[in-house]
This record gives sequence, structure tokens and C-alpha cells, in this order.
Amino acid sequence: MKTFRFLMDLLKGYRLRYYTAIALGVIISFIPLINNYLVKIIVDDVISGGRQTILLPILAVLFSITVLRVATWYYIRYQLEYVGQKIMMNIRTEGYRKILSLDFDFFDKTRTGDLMTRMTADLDMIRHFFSYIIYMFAEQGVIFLGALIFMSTVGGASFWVLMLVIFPLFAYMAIKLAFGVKKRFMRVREMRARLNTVAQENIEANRVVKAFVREDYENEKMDRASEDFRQAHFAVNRLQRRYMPYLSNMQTLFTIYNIVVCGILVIHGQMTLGDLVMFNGMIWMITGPLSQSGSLLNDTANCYASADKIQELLSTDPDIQQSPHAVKERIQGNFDFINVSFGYESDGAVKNIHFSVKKGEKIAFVGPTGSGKSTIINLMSRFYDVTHGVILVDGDDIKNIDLDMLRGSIAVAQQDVFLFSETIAANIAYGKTDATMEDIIEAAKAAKAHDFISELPDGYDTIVGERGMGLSGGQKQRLTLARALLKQPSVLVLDDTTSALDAKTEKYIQESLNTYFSDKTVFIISQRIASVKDCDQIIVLDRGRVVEHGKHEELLQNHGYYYDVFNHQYGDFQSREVLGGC
Amino acid sequence: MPKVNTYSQDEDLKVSLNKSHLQKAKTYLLKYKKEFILTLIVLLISTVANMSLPYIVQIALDDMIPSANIRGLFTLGGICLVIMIISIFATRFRMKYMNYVGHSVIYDLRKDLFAHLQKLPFTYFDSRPHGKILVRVVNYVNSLADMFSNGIVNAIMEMVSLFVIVGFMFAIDVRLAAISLIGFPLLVFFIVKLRSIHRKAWQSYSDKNSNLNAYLAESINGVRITQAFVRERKNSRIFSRISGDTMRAWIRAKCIEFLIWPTSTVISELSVCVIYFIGAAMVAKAQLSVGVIVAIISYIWRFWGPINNMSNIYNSVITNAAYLERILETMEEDVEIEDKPDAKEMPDVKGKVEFKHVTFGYDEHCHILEDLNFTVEPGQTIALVGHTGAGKTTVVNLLSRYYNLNSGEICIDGINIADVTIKSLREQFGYMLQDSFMFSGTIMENIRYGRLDATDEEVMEAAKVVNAHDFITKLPDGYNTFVSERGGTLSAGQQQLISLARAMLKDPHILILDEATSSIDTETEIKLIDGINRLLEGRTSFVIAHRLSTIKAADRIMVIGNQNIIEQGTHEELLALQGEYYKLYQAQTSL
Repeated sequence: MKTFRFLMDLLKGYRLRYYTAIALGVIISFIPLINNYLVKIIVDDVISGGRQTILLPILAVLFSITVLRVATWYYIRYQLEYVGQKIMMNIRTEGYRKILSLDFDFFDKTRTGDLMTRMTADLDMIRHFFSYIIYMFAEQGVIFLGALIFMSTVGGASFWVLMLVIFPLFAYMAIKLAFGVKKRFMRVREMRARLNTVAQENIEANRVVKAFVREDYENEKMDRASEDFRQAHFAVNRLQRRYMPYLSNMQTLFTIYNIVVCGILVIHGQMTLGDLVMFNGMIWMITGPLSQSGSLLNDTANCYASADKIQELLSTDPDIQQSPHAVKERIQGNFDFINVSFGYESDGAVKNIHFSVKKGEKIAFVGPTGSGKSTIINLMSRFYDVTHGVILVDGDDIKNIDLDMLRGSIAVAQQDVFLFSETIAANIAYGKTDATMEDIIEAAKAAKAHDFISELPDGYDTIVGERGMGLSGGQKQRLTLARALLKQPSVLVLDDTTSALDAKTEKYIQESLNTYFSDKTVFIISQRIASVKDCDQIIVLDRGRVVEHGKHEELLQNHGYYYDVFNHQYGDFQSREVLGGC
Repeated sequence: MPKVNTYSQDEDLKVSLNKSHLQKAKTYLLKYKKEFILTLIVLLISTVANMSLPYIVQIALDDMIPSANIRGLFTLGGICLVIMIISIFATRFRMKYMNYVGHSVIYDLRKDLFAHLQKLPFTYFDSRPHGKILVRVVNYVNSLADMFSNGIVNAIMEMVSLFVIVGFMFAIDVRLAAISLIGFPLLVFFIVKLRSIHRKAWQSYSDKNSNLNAYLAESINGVRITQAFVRERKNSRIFSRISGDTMRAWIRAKCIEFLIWPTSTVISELSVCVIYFIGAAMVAKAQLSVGVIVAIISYIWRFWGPINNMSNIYNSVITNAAYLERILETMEEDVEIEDKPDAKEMPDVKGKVEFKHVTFGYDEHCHILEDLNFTVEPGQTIALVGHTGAGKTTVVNLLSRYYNLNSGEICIDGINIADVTIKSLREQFGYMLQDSFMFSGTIMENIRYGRLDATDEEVMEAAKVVNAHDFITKLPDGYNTFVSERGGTLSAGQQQLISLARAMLKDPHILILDEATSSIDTETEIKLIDGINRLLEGRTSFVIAHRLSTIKAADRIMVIGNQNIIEQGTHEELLALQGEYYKLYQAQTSL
């Protein structure tokens, strides 16, 4: 019932248009009856009765009614498709907005394939519901009821006895079918999502598959997913097979009733032959709806399964909510982490983090893999909310700051390079769509990407494949860097963005950062001492805790983790210099 | 770089549905010949049985009721009951077999499509949004199920009843039958006229829909970037636009499709009117009996029934033909790198690698490597160094034959790699890529991808070698921790460790590490190099790294640039040379 209400609420704004179309649809479905009546006149009066004069007018009426009927039909179908498509488009847009608004947390747990299924196949079922199922229910239902009323007046008590036998039987099977099949459709959905996942991962990982010569294994995996998908369909079919043939063949019972019961009634003089003939002529009005009912109920169950899934998506709310009194001002770049903790025992959790950053400072995070460096960055943009403690931005609680303003002021050059399948220029301008070509080129130059971009045949108009396929790791990193620089943020975050760059390129980028970002706050996550040594603060993290904190020279005195890393990266060279000196 | 397709442009269709496509579709169907024939026979029986119902009613009306034969009525009722049972059986039979056939055909089709995809080169995947490939494998194939089962059977059945009806009509009265069929060519003419625009409209829809899917998939994958750059509104606008395009394309296609039923109905009504008009005149002249007209007209209605049904079937054929085209197009995509017809198996190699006059470019004109020559002795570790984009990755990609050379040859143990099967060649390598990829599944399964028959102990052993074991055991579920696609909550460094463990587990003869350690912290890296060094023993290996500290121990360092090797030698030799390597090294170590 909840699902039904959800579906019906979607009609908002199209109700008049939609119900008019449905009503017209019901009306024109009775037109064949008029045609039958006209034909009866032709046969009785014109052909048998010889009244030739009225033939032409009757034919003209017959023909024009048909033209009217098909024209109306066309109008109705158009309207139904229009409304169905509009509704689908509305939910699609809403679903898309919803997806973009959800937390990182959601995407950590949800597979792309599942979301794709909801946004494509499930949505299509909803369209089908409005463009077809409801219309058919209304049309067939009215015809069926009309026939029932008409036939019961003719058939009397015996007809009601027949209906008492048939109707419970019909209802039993219909309900069994509709309820049983929904569960099986759920399974089909699951299997389709799996199919999606297997195919999608395979496509994305095509390099890995080839590198490990796993083509056969992938084929097997797909085989299994395909087979399960097929079996899920077979399971639906087994249930349908149990009931649908009876539902669609119940019509013959009416013919039997007509021959045997009505025949006897006629013989006993309780019914006229004409009534029997008319009764016979109306059987199609019973049989049509009955034979349709099976597949309609089937579709409805299928649609309900889809609607539930869509509803689930639309009602998922992001945990991170905007405060109603949020401050809508660009942030300056002062951060205070006061006793911040996030996550429990899991990887990337941080505990009791405490530090302050002033506008214009350069801060480095160093530490082993999984020590929580990226987590701190994500907390800063409020992609996750802290579990304990407070983050102050420009002295104000981060939760009181407008999310868009906060994120808009921070540019992160991500560790996980993601490029969109658009031109290089559009990728660089991703964060600032109104950027001019000059701005883009300037940002590219600062990120030392201009040279290699210019060397490409199409330059800035080169379209890069999804995830920047075709570009090397270093080139991709420089593009993401240019993207972050162009945004002209108050706070720049380089999350291991230079790992794939050679030393010379990195040095150049460091220099350009110093020119462009001297008064901005910059956070750097890096494994390289060279990238971090000049920072105002270096914070060393281990297992989510700050273990060392200070400037380069201070940390070297500490003889801790930082010192070890330094020795590993420079020890050899320095000793060589010393040797050379001797 | 190859030409890349995006969400904002429709894909050009290289081929259109032609004879060879139909031929190909036929081979998929012929496999289920037996099921089709059986179903048709059963359906024929039940159709004949059902068609006799009006006749039985006729007998009741004309014979039994006037003679008050109640027993006769019961007999007729009994016959009806038998017909009903036959019909129920036939419906069940048809549902069972056609469902089986439809889903089996698409199962076969998907299997072949997917297997073909595995053979396609990187460039195929790099040059189009992955969402567009995905819909072909899943959605398009799925939508063919009904056409390839019920669609075909229905078409045949309608055809049969059409011929039966036409036969009856001509048997009753040749003149009236001929007149009533006059409308038929008119309809055929109309449908043929409509066909091409109808098909184009559906093609356009499937293109727009494919764009929509591509954009959607990319949006979901890139959602973190979108949020970080506060691009939600702009993306929503783009999505609405694409979504609107899809909607309009659909409605346009439907508007064309909806013309068919009204046309055939109007034409049939017209022919009925003509029959009445002529028939009435003929009756008046006593050239015809009333019964004949009534019979002919009742057959006209029956005649247009199958025609209407066939036009519906035709609609779905048109819709699905667009999908089928896309599927078959993918299956005809060239497999650029193929085994030679007489390709041998590559035996287990010792690892001597020779590049002889190798020239290669992704483009004919623009060479990345030119006349590259070098030899690597078994067991040596070779480091490849050079500026970003110099072609280091290309060298190792050529070695495992991901691309064909423009000229020259590459030999391993003296065997030209172009002469052996690709499978046996690539089995020799352990490959650790720049872009580590996680499959959704447990960490255990992800590592085991390297060697499918590895035991749990062997997996852990490999993880220990690359120092991944420690962090994995610290996770709440250890090796059974579920990672989502693209790694989910694992950091980039952790993903690299896992994918390194995967390469280790494969126990390859030649190891390739392409920026394998770029995201790993120095501490881990020290341990890691330790582990790698143990494993490198006795194996030829190629290491690409920017952090020169990781490659100092290599037997030979090759600096790649200017389409060739600029300089090569050991770390010490190259430093002494004070050339390009010296500059790179200095840049990295100077403070």
C-alpha cells in the first residue's frame, strides 16, 4: 500500500492530463459495441430488408467512428507515454541529485552496478507502470465489470452461481501469483545487479585481466553470473506456469456455461435464444480481461519490486546535514583540530588529533600507509563528520559552515586520480566552469602540464578516456593538480599528488606553488622528504595518532620516524658527498 | 592516443543490420530448433482446438437446442472442457519452452560477447565510456530475450493463421476475397515507408540512452571528485539535459510506432465498408447470399487481427534490431593482437630478453620508440627511468605484447614473442600496474586472483613477502575483509600492497613493477624492497619508478628518452657519468 501511494504521488502535476487519457481510453474501448450494432442494422435492414438508401450513411458513420476512435487512441497513447516519460525523468533527476548528495560513507558500501540498476531498469518499470499497466487495468477492468453487469441481468441466478465458483478460484490464483512472484522478481533483480557488477568490474579492470591472463577465469565468472540470472528467470517462469495458463484459459468455462446451462434454460423456456446469442457475443469482454490479468499482475509485482528499490534510494538521507543557520562565507584557511577522533578500530581511524593551522601556512602530513592522513583531509572538507572533538574553521565549528562554501574554498588534488571522459580543458575547468582558456592554460602551466598537453595532437581539446586511460600516471596527476589550482581555493590539499612525478617536475611544481599560493593554506601529504621539508609544520601520524609534530630541523633532532625516512631517502647521497670530500 | 567517445556524442555505427547479421542471429536460434518445432506443433494443435469453439457453439444453437437435446449439450460442454485442458497444457508448454529458449539464447549471446570483449585491446576500452560497453553486455542482451523466443513463435503462428484465413476467404468467394485484400498492399506500402524512419528513431533513442548510461556511470564513479569540487548543480543540469534528450527520442520513436495500429485499423474498416457496399448491391441483384457476406466479413476481422499482431511484433523487432546491431558490432570489433595461426606454446622461460630494432608508436606517424636495442640476461633487474611520458610503460607493454610492433622484434630466450600464443606468453609475467584495481570481494580473493588454485596459506605467504600481511591482519575481518570495487576504504598504498601480493602469488618468471611503490610510505617500502629483492632472485625483472632510491640496487638502469635509451649502466656508473641520470638524482636528493 505504501508502494502504491508512492507511485500515485508521482502523478502530481500530471493528474488531469493522465486521468483524462485513462477515461478516454475506457470510453473508446466501448466503440466496437456501437460498430457491432451498426453492422447488425446493415445485415438486418439493408441486406435482408433491402433498404439500400440508408447503406451509405451508415457506412459513413461506421467509418468516421473508426477514424475518431483511432485518432483518440493515438492521442491517449501519446499522453500516456508523455506522462510516463515525464515521471521517469523526474525521478531520474531526483535520484541523480540524491546520488550526488550522499556521503562518502554510502559509496564505500554501495556498488555502482546496484545504483545503475536502480537508475535504469527499475526506473523503466515505473514508466511501464504508468504508460501501460494502469491504463490496461482501467480499460480491462471497466470492460470486465460492464460485461459482468450485463451478463448477470441476462443469466440471473445461475450466472451468480458460476461467478461464485470462478471468482474465488481466480482470486486465489491471482493472489498466489502476484505475491509469490514478487520475491522471485527480487532475486532476478539481484542477479541482474550481479551481472552488472561482474561486467563492469571486468571492463574497468581490463588491464589487470590481461596482465594476469585471467580471460578464462573472467569468462567463467560471467558464465556463473549469467547462469544464475537465467535460473532466476526460470524460477519466475515456474511460478507463472503454475497459475497463468489457468487464468488465461478460464474463459472457456464461460463458453461451457453458455452451451450447457443457458442451453438448458432456453430449452425450458426460461431464456430466449436471442439472449443466448448475445451472451455468446459478450464472452470476449470477459475473456480479454481474464487472459490479460495474469501478465498484468505479473508486471505489477515486478514494478512494485522496482518501486521499493527506488523509494529506498530516494529516502536515503546523507548523514552530513547542512545547519540551517550556516555561515555562507568563503573560508580564510584557519583550522583548529581539537581532540578529534573518527572511526572505530578500523583502518584510517584517527584518535585525539590536535593541531592548529593559520592562514598561509604550509602543513605536511607524513606517516605509514593507513595511518589516517587522508582521513584528516576528508574531515576537513566534511566528507565525514567527526566522532569526537571539534574542528574549527576560522574559529567557527565546521558544522556551522555552509557545505558548498566550505568545499568550494578547499581544493583537493586527490590521490585516486579520476578524470572524466571529456576534453582536457573541461577536466581542468571541472571545478570552475566559467574559467577562460587563458585561466586554464595558466593553471596547466603552474602544474607543468602545459608542455605535454600542447604536444598532443588535439592539445587542450584532446578527449581523455574515463579515468584518463591513455595518459601516464604522472600526466594524470598533473591534470588533477591543474584542476585543483584553477579553482583558486583558500585551502589547497595535495593528497600524494606528486608520487608519480619525476623529481624535476615536482621541484618545478613546488616553486609554482610558492608563487601562487604563498598566502594560502596548503596541506601536503607525501612520502617524499623533498616535498615536505620546507613546510611550516610537519605532522607525523602513526595508527591514527600524532607521533611527531614540528619543523624539518626539529624532527630530525627527534631521531624518530621522520629521521628514519630522511636517512633512507638521503643517507646514501650524503655519505657519498662526504666520501667525495675526502 | 585513440579517438575517444564521450557521453555527449552518439557513437557512429560502423555496420548496419545486414544479411551476415541475420545469419549470425540464425546460428544462435538454430541451436534450439527442436524446442521451436515442438512448441509450434503444440501451439498448432491448441489453435485448431480453440478455433473450433465457435463451431461447437453453432452446433449447440442450430441442432441441440431446437431438438431439446440436453445430453447433446452436455457432450458439447465436455468437448469444450477437453479443449480447455489442451489449451492449458499448450500454454504451459509454450511458457516453459519459450522462456527456456529466450534466456538460453541470450545466455549464449552474452557468453560470446563477453568472451570477445576479453580479447579486445586496451584501446577499445580506453576510447569509450565504460558505461556504453556495459549496457551492451547487460541491458541490450537482456532485452532480446523475448524477441528471440515468443516473438519468433508468434510471428510464425500469425503467419499460419493468416494463410488459413485467406484460404477460407477465397474458398467462400473469390471476388469478395480479392476485394477485401485490396487494402493490404496499401498497408504494406505504408509500413515500408515508415520502416526506415522508425528504425532510425529507435537507433537514435538507443544512442541517447547509451549516452545517459555513460554519464550516469561516470557520475557515480566520480562522485567524490564532484562533491570535492562542488559541481553537483552543474552536473545535475547536464544530466537533466541528457535525460531530456533521451525522453524526446523515446517519445518521437513511440509517436511513429503508434501510427501503425491506427493505419491498419482504418484500412481494415475501409475494406469492410467496401465489402458491405458491393456485397449489398450484389445481394440485391441476387448474385450473392447474405450468409456469404456475413462469413466474409467475420473473416476480414480475423484477417486483420494477425496483421495487427504482426505489426506489434514488427515494432519489437525494430526496437531490438537496434540493440542487436550494437551487440553484433562489438562482436565484430577487430581483435588487434591475435595468435598467429601456427603459434606455439611458450615454454617456461629463463628470462633472457632482447629488443631488436624495435620501433613503435600508437599512431603510425608519431613514434614513441625508435630502433630500440637492448639485451637483458636471465635474472637481471632492469630499472627504467625517464621523464613522465618518455615511454617507460610502453617498453614493458610491448614486452608482454599488449601492442604489436611497427617494426623490429622482441625475443625472450631467443623466441620471438609474436610467434607464440599470447596466453602462454603472458603467463610468464608478473605484472604490477600503476593503477591497482580491486575486485569486489574479500582481500583473500583479490590476492588469489594472481593464482587461482593457491591455498589460504600461500596467499598469506605472498602477503607476508610484500609486507601486506601486517596491515591486513589488523583489519577487523582480516583477510576476509570485504573490499568494494576500486578499493573502497583501503588507502591507495594499501591497494598497491595487495596488488603487489597478487603479482607475487603468481610466481612469475619475469616480473614487471610499474610504479608499484609510488603510494607506499618509505618505512613500508624499505621492508617491501627487501621482500621484492628476495623474490627477484633468479628472475628477470623490470622496475619503473620515480623514486630513484627504490632502484639503486638494479643491475642496470636505463634512462629512456628521445624515443630510445639515452644512457644505461649501474647506479654508480651513471652517477659518475654526470649525465641525465645524475641530474635526475640530484634534483631528487638535493634539499
